[in-house]
Amino acid sequence: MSGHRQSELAPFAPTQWSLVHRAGQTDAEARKVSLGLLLQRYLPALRAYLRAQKRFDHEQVEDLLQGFVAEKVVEHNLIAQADRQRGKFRSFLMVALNRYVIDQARRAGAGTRSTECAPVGADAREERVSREAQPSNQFDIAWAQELVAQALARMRRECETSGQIEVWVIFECRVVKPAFDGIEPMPYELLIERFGLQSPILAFNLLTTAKRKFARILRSVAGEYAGDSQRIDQEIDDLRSILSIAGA
Amino acid sequence: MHEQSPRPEKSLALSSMLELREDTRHVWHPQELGAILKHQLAAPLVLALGNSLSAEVAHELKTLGSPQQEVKNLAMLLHHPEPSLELLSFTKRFAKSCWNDPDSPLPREIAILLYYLSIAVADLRSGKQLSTLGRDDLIQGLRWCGDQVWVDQSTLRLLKEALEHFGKGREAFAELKATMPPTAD
Repeated sequence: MSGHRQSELAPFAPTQWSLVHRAGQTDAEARKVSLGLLLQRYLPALRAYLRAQKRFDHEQVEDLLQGFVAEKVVEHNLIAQADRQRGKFRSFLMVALNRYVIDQARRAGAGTRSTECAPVGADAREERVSREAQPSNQFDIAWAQELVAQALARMRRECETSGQIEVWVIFECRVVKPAFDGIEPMPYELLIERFGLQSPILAFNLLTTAKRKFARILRSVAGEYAGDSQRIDQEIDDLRSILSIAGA
Repeated sequence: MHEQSPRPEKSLALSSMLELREDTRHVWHPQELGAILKHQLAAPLVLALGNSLSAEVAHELKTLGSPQQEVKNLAMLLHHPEPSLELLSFTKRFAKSCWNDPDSPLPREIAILLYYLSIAVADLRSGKQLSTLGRDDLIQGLRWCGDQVWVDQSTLRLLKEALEHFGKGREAFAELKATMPPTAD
């Protein structure tokens, strides 16, 4: 069973640290591909972090990220310095970004950079950096958002390719849209009519299948970053705690 | 979702998504109980009583005599003047298993209703006892069922008839209180 699931998900599942390893290599082609995948996964969270926590506007965020990727990630091969034994890769990345932002603020404040190279006003940036010099839960919230988004996209794809589109639709109507768009779940009467369900047991089974499928896929996605089963549980528990506190 | 900053209200939504895991409880909302009961009562009997009983139910349906052959669903069974005791017994077994199972496919409240109704109808129509449940406990359970706002009029009439049958009459039904029913026998 687990072998089947593994092969089913194989096209999506280069693990976190294997990508990091390849991105830190000297082989230019392998490095380029792996870096591209890593950035695709992490940039949304880094972007959200700069925007929500540091209060940078869209243009400033894009300039900072572009500079960070060009200078630190590509030029200084930042990824090669990541060490699995020293904690989560995303924490490593965020600390590096944070340092880069501080460094940019200092350089702009010292007048060592031209306006063109310092997209954020020096005073404003110094203030932002001093307000939040330490890594923040905001990044974890953005990260959870990314994780859930990936799991939802993968679930939809899996349902479509396996001929179980009704599993996705019932999940979307009863769980996803009510959670994210604040709309009422599809009423029970409509649901049984739409899917031609002959008994409450069949309706229950369909919705339960959807929930279990999402839970499995979420674990699979988290597993690509967290590693073993224990770390996956810890990762999900940690994110849930952060989100609960943030939303309280 | 990728392009939006996480907002506090979204944090709770995300948290709820991370909580889904393997938990199958709380699939339906309390305000949906009426619709689920209606659906359960109208579902074909072989589907309504779960996979584990479907073969036995199908066999029983084949062996029913002419007055009961028209019984296609739970509503027809519970309202039949001469219901099959075997089918009522299956209904009771299914309801009891759902009542005791936290991952039951049927909401616990509906399982409780079906449990008490199946016992009451067997006694009411055939004078047969499907349970060792004491009369007071049965009455207490039936009262609880009758007090639920999601129970339809037809089922309420049956509950009333059962309560009258068990000797408490109109007063007993009029004094329905929101007490929790006793546990299954």
